[in-house]
Amino acid sequence: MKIKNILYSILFLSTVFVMNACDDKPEIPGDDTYEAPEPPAAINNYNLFTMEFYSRLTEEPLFGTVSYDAVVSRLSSNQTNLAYLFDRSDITIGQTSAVVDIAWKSKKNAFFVQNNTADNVIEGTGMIVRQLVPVFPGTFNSDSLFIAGCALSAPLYTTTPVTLLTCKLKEDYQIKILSGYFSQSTSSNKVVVGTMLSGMEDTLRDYLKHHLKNFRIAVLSSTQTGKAYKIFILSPVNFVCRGFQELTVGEFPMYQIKIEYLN
Amino acid sequence: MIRYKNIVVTLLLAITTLLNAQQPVTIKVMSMNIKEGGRYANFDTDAFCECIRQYNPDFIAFQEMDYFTSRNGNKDMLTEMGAKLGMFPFFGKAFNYSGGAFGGAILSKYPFFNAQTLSSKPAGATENRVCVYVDVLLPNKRKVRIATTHLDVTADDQIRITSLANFNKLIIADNDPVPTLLIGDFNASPESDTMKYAKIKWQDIGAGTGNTISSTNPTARIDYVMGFPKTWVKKSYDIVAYPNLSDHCFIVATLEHP
Repeated sequence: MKIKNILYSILFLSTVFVMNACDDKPEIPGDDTYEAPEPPAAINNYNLFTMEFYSRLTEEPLFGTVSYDAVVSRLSSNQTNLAYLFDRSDITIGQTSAVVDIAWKSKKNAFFVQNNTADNVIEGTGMIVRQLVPVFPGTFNSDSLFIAGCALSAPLYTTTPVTLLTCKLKEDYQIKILSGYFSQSTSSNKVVVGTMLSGMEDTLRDYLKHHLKNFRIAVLSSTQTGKAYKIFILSPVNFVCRGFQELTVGEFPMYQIKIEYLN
Repeated sequence: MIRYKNIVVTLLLAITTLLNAQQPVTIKVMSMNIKEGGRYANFDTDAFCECIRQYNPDFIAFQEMDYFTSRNGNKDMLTEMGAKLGMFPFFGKAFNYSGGAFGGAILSKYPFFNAQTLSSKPAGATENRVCVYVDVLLPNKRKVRIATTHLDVTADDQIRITSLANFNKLIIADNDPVPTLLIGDFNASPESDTMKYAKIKWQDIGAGTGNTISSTNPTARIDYVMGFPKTWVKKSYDIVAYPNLSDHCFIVATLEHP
């Protein structure tokens, strides 16, 4: 046991030394000429879906001790959104998750994408969907970046498969992981709606521009000041964000996001 | 210089991972065939939750779960139990039933980062069968896969074997042996061809334990907790009967994987 502790100490110190010696920005080689083609000016409402992203865009948990009855009421009465995401709907192991509770009370299905690992309180993003989900694809890397979401059928002009994923970016190195996961099969209609620390957007755009093709990236900012995070939407080129509305449900800030499928 | 640093970082991370890997996976699981969506309990989730709370499992593998069926009063019993127990639900539909769906399900105390529903309906089978699994990163950073299935009740072992073969291909990766449990109602006795086939890949962790059906007079063992790779250690393995909840006994097992 003592040897193991010593080994850990050596490894930790060595890692800190080497990591500090390295440039922590992801490498950006090669072609930077990619620009997503302009989408059609006119929006095709038949191919438009909406989703609601609940987030304080801060380091604060979303729910805390605040009643979420208004959210339950909204989800129970609204049957048009493809999905509802709840950033920082943190959970305590063994205790009722607000997202599972909301899903039960509004007769929907709950999922949770953790942002970290911990023994007790885990940060993460809840996801509630109307549809029964047979596949919840996901991955994790170095226990600090989890990317996961629901394989859904968007009820558009023709029913369209959309895999709606989420993650939270806090460090530049995570961009490379996200890009790698996204590029595995851009043809499978993966749309990532997540949050990133404010200030990361240029690095994100640059990295993706050099490493991906046929994608779009949109970054949404709150109109309110003092937000630590922004929302990003990473999609194949055949999806485009058509704007968002900043609303409040009960005491919870919510961003209603419109995404069009360009077939 | 950068390449050298990358090699050093990779080596350090690899050694750290190896050290972490020494921490065992220790989990408590339950297997619950709840008979026709919970009919014995009149579809009352509180009755099931009361039973489950006595054991405080990390994972529950359900068979015969209803999802918004008219017979269960149009409710999602799994999510309801998840909310009441502080667990995360994942339901896998085998087929449409009674205005809703019927299938397998898992409740997990820990959030899962990946989940799948695998289907199999071999020639001659009367119903589609599913294997539902979730992948979890435990607090000690060990990954574990928990799966549940309910194999066909037909007399023909070959149908169950074919389904099992289909599931094996998708949930077991020999080159990446993630500790995996396949829990459920195999509709086959330990001596059957089905279980002989199952034991080629899987460890019958409860081998030698008692019968699981019926809950009032257990005369046959058809519910199992199977482990992959075959290095699981049984810390405890109990078969408990709740005739008010199901015709099956339930399995409660604490298991460790090194």
